Amino acid sequence: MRPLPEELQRVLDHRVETLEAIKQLLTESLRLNTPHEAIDPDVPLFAAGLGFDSVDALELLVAVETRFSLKLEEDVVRDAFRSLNSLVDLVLAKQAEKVAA
Amino acid sequence: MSEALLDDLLALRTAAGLAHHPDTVALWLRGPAALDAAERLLPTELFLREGQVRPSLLLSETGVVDAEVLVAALGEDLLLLAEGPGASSLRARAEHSCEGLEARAELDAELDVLSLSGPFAWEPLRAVEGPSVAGLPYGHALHRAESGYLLRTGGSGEFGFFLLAPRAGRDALFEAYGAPGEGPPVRRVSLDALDHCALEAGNFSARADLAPGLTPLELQLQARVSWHKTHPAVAALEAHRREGFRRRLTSFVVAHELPRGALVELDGEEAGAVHRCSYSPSLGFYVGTALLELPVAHSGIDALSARDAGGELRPLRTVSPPFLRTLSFVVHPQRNRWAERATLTPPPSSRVPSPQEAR
Repeated sequence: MRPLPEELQRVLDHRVETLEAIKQLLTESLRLNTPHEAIDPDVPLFAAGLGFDSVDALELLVAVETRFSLKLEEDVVRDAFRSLNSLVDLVLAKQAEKVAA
Repeated sequence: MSEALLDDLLALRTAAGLAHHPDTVALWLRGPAALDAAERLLPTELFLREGQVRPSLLLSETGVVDAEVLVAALGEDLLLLAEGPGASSLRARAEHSCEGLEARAELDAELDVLSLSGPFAWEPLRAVEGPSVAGLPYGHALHRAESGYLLRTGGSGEFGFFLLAPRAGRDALFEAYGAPGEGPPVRRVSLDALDHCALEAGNFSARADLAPGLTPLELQLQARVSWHKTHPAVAALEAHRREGFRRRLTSFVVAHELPRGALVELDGEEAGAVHRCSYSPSLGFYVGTALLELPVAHSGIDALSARDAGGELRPLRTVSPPFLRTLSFVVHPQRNRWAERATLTPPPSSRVPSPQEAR
């Protein structure tokens, strides 16, 4: 592919940085023993995906809040903790809210 | 979308649906080295406790996905259920994996495979199978009271179970689940309906998603591969990744139907191809997946478009699956009954922006 339009590339770079940062949390905080390139962005965090349980979810929540300096409300967390991508969506939305405020 | 398919989807999303899986292959690995044979056969590391079920894949030596395999540890044996275009090769491959081991592969032609799915699937299940099934956790299996096996799995986004019963008892089982009672009506549903639900739920369906040449890297199924394992397909996948795989399955929403294979474009340049696209009656717009070039295989992009069957360029937006929240999200099997469904507050169905909102 030829180079992407500048604005799109900027948005995607920020998304990929956030995704990589969350993968780093999975390997550091949750001791996930998988190479980063082998963690798919849409893989479910629970059950048939990465197999996390409720304790893992709590650890990940704390790690994400600390890493990104965010406070995540309970009602949005359950919905966002489906996959890495949905977690990235939440982090990006919260960051945008902070900037707007 | 046909009326029958719409009715099937309504049943699956609001009550319960029973489907027959005639092409699903059931095979036993037996003997003291059954687990060793399974480890040879499959790319997934199988740490299985008694009664546990784990999803895996049947891969070619080049790493292409031939079928989806569920592995259940039942007593000293392993039960393998395979779905997909390559499922019929399971027996030959399993026999090959048993060579030199104290293990044998036995195709179970007597077991018929049915599935029961839906937010209130628990009720008819309890009524037919007995109250002991109520505590069966996700990803577990048990031997059923009469004969056959029950696996709690499912990819529809609703509560889901595989029922394995002797072929001779299939009609009686359909009759038992179809008998009117206090629970929800149980509709006979098609596999197409289950595949549609899997798409909406962001889950893999071997029947609908497999295509020649696709590996776990393109299909986002790497969690089913153990990268520490010595396995010919794993080695091939590592090489495929090193050489740089080009495309990844990515979900999108769109206001118009797009044909399979339609080119996805970015500023007039090819950026991928539509894999699946279907109208979601639950959401009121089209949902789909596309194999997109890696630089744009990300959620949140609204600069892509593809041509519909009439040649019109239609904008699409990539999103993070699942597309919707299902009623099963709020149904508690021990507390919520079909008869009291009006007291439940369904979640807002859409998890993604509609194509109109997105633009």
